[in-house]
Amino acid sequence: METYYKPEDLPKFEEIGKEVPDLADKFFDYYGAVFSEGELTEREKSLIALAVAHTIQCPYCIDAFTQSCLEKGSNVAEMTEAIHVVTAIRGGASLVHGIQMRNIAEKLSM
Amino acid sequence: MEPAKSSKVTDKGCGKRAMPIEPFRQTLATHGLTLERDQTTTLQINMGLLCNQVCRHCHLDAGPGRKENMNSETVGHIIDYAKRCSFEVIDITGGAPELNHNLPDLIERLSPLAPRIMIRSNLSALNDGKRNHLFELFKEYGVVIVASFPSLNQAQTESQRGRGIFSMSIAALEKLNALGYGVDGPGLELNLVSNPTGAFLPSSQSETEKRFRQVLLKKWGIAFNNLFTFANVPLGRFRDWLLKSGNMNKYIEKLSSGFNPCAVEGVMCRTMVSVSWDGYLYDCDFNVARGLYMGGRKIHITEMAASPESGSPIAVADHCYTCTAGTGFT
Repeated sequence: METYYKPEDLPKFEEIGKEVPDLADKFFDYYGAVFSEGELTEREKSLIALAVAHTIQCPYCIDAFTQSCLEKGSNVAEMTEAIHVVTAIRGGASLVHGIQMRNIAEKLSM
Repeated sequence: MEPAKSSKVTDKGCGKRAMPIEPFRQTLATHGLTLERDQTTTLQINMGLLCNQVCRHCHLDAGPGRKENMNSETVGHIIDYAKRCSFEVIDITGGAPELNHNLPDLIERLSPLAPRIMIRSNLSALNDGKRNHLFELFKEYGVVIVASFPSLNQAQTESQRGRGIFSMSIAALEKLNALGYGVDGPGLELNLVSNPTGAFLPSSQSETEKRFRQVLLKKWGIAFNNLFTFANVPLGRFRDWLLKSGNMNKYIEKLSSGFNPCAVEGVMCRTMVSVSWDGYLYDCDFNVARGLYMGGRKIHITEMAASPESGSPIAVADHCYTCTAGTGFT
């Protein structure tokens, strides 16, 4: 079935540098540096990336960072917990806006 | 998404057959490399395909139903060969070598002939309640134990190695620590091996070792010396699983696209000779699985006057990409 998202496009990511290579180089250098071990391990960074991938709902990112998490030694339980963390933040962000609703409602109500 | 490396594979799907890739030999030639033997320092002995486990990543298809097991006559031939050569390391593997009743004889007779004897253990065969004498034997001869321990997670471990294996492995490691293995003092070496629990490459060895050391100590009070991360080789039962699960093409692509010319110099087959349960010689245990004899010639251990010569050719096939992907497999 024809679809906008094609798994075979994922390895072509670097082709984005064909027309504007200097910006792509800067991005990929930065990208590589971000995911190198620093104060956080590569495994921890991949778990964060996996969680964010679910928040931004990017199928390429979910594919890439599921593999990356497994390759860096995470297990499915850890990966699932990471997704719950961003789900909680996302849900919490909606819920905390309820205070705005309450403030406005309070102002308008007798 | 993650920037990916370029690929030599042309397949796009997840079919039931592996798609052709650039042959390993051709890739070597493209990089101006040849794979030849260096000085042989290690004798690897595969005692047979009998195993109590049926691991899904096993390149040899080992299991409880396998009848191929090394007999005492071949053990004798190996002792004679070890006397003719001077090996620094003896590396005993299987199947589960603990299930071969010739193992104590092999270790006792090899012990004066090599300074380092290693046994690759799945832990559950060693700690099945019937082999306490082996714990004592290993301790007496200072045998280095290289134990399979793929994951800190029970579900991952058991999806690769079978139900109940995780707790059995923990119990075996606790027992080995109590005997003096892996702890400061007695000098008894306990190393762990972590193979990926699926169609993906292993994690960084140093990072994994650090994490396993912290978690094993914190959760179970277990200590060990070193941890090695090895990629799974697409042969035997693992190959069957890759094909059945539709992962073969992507996995092979991952291995071949990760070819690192710098890793070729350090691959284990350059310094090792592997003898199978029936006494024939191979360049490595993966070639045993594939039936590729040492240097492409069928030679029995009794025909070898000395260790293989430096500069002699090594038999290669496409599974060799496993040992040259990334930082390599030594």
